[in-house]
Amino acid sequence: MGARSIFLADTMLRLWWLKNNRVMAVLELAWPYTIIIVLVGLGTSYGSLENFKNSLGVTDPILYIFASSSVAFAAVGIIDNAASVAQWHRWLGTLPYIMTSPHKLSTYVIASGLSLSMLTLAMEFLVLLPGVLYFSGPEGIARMSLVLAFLLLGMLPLVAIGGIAAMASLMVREESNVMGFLNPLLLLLSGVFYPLKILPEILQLASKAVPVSYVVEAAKIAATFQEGLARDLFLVAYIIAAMILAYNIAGIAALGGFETIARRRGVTD
Amino acid sequence: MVSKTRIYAMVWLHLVRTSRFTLSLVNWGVIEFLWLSIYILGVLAFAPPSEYQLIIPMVFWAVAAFGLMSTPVWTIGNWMKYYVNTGVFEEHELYNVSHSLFLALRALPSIVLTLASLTVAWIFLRELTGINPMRVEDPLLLVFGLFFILVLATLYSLIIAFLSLYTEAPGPLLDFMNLLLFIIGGIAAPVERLPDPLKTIAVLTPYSHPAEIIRYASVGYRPYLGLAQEIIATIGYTLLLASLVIMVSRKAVKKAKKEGVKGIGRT
Repeated sequence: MGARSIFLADTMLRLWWLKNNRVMAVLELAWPYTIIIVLVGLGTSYGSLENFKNSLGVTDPILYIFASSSVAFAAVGIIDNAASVAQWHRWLGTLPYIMTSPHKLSTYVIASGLSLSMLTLAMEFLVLLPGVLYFSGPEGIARMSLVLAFLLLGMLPLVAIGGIAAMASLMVREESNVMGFLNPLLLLLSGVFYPLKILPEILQLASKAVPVSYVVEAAKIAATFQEGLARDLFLVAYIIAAMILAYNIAGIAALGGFETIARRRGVTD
Repeated sequence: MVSKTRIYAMVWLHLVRTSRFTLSLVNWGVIEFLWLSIYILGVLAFAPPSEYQLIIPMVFWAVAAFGLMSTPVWTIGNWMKYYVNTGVFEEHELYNVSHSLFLALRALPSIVLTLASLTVAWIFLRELTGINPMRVEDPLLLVFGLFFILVLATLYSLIIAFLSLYTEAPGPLLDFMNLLLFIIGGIAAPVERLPDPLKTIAVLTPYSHPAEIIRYASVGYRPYLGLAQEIIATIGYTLLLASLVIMVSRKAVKKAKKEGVKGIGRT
């Protein structure tokens, strides 16, 4: 059984779960809008969309809020999803079966985490489409599709980190993903809902090494009707592609070591 | 009547468990602090800088109230999933232990967690903006407001936990009301500032009353119904939610006993 089979099996499991539990399916679909309502509601209680538009430097603030909410909950989700898959099996008592199967544990958690992340992203995208169409028209859909492509791309540099988070959480025998703080930290550094200049200089520098920052940048470009859009987006795509290579080469090397230590220590109790 | 020994045993077990999972607790605290900061910085992007002096403490306490509201949803509401999956539900049922009480006492780690996160968020925001976000005019009233937010959140989380048992959907997914109430329920912004129809909704929902008390205690913003009425409404809603917990828990446990305990979906 390879990574592809695990990916497909986990996707089917998730889809069937949603099919058999309609309440859960409806609630999952309602979530992206809830997040948007919260941010816009909270923000406009104390200020205005005009201020938001000016401080973020975007032309279409609503489209940006739709896009950035997706970024906030999907781009970094791979880390948590991969780690939570491992924890979930430990809780259920099925981890020993996965450990003794022919493929590597890291392959399983990454494939399963990717499946969950991509499915969540696809669902969010489909659910948000009517809203984007209403506020920004057909062009908004095209721009949102661009953001989706960048979200998928931006997820890839974090794949190996997701695997490491899973192994680390199992190794320390904790109840949850001990590297869960990475999700909001990466979001904080990416300036998803605010201009990066508000952060101290050292955090602004750190944000340059965070792949999600470039996905946020792509969302900003997509929500700004400017000339040379394709050129700017390609530049962002090249940076993310370089990060996919750099992060995963380093991450996969470290992941092998983590898995060996995890197996030696025993992770199922 | 629940014996003192049982309560001690439950508290002791929750605390031992918390100390056993120190790294998870620290990690969770950091997560909470980072999310608080992300939302507060997000709000500042909407606000004119000239009003930061008033807005930052108001937003800080609103987000603090939200922290107290939302953490128990995870520590109590979402925990039903593990409670069921690890077989603890049946074990407690067998020994006639109150599920509500056992789950409610998980609010204790929530308090530690939220208070620690708030302290770090306070330092971070003060350094970042140069404005003290933790402005307090009446500390006693502030403690009263925060305490009742936590009590209401614990009761709400218990309802979520038992609904989760009933519907087999994970607690955090059932929790969208919390986020909506945060905006339309007079927690994020003073009830007086809301549009007319939302004012009525806010007054009819439980969290707005302690939130109005917190705003009055921190920046001196006059409560919409008047201080005494807000205090009475807060206590009244606490009793109402407590009755709802009893009702929902009985229904969910009855269903579980009749149909068997079923697994709860993954978030």
